[in-house]
Amino acid sequence: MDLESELRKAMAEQVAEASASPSLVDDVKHRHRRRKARVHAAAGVAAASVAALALVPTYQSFRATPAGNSETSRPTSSVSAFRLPERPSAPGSPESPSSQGKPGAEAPSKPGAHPSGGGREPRNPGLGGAVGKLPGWITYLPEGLASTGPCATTGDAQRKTVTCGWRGKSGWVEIALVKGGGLSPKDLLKTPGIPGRTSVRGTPALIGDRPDSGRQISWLARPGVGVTVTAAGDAKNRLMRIAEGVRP
Amino acid sequence: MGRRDDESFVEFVAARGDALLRTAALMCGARQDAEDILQTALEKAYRHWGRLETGMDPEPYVRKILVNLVISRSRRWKVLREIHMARLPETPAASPNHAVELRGTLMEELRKLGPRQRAVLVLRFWEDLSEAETAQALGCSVGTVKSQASRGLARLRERLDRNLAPLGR
Repeated sequence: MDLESELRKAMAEQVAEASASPSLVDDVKHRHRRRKARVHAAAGVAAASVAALALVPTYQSFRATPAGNSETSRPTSSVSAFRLPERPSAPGSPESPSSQGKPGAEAPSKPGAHPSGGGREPRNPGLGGAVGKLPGWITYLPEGLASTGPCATTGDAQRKTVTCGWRGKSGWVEIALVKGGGLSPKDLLKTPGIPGRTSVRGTPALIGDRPDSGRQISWLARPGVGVTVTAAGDAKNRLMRIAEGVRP
Repeated sequence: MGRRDDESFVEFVAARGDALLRTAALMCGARQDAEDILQTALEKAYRHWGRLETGMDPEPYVRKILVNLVISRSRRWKVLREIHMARLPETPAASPNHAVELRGTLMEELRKLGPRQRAVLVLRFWEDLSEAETAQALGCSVGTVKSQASRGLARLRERLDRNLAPLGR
């Protein structure tokens, strides 16, 4: 018996009637389209997951990072995504996230009322413990500073500036919050010479020395919202820490 | 050298679809599985069809995908094998047509071989590929093809002798 030829005949008999379906090409293309759709859906889900993982810590960094945190790096999803939301634990921050401390709320809307920066009741805002109640968007000031008065609001409808000042034996601090379109750190910085580059919590910032021995740092907290912090005296050494505590 | 287009894929499937289906049916043993595996293999080939040169024959490429799919699926999906193995051995009975009996038994025994050994026998004796072409399709050496073919045939012969002995063959 020739096994090989018998095997050939057996195979031929076995598949003699087998023929491909007339719709084979269409079936293959349909399968291909389904696979592509599955791949695209999976990619979309993956992208959405990555975006969600990146957004959560970013959101938390806006409202939850404690004042005075010396970290200036931008929060990353790999580390911060699983971090519990931290409350603004720094002294000087408002008890509730009401509009009391929001930028713009410092304007003396009620003539008789004490503005938030007015220093009605002695408290210990910031780790250093400046005297007076701070606006909610400022979470740190060095020790021994007292408010120079209510935060002043200037400008027009297109660009509004809220300026708050503190003064003490150790120097003085001025924080200006600018809201308006077309802002850049260069517009905010009012120092002569070429400014240096730095970052505030991962956001690019410009820093420069003023003629009056003060030092100034400016950055865009987000599009349309710029911050300038000026400090002189001993407070100058705490400039970065003050800047990191500004959360507009 | 140009690239292949959609139309050439349609032409290829129209021309070689039957042959590929028969190869798939012999390698995996069940017609339904063969159709599914062939569709999967063609879909994989279709994904990269545009990259194939127009001058080259796409059939070895598709056949290689098909063989790999059959082998990997057989390894992964043992149910198919278990179904075949779970069949009760047929009781040999005298048949007026011994040739038909012999071929039926041959196919039964072919299905019982391992997927790789079965693929070697199908490619060598159904597709009439050379040892080198078979080795290329399987992604192994010519020596492996020779040994697998030899062992496969020996096993078939041994089982046939055992099964057909009561028939006086």
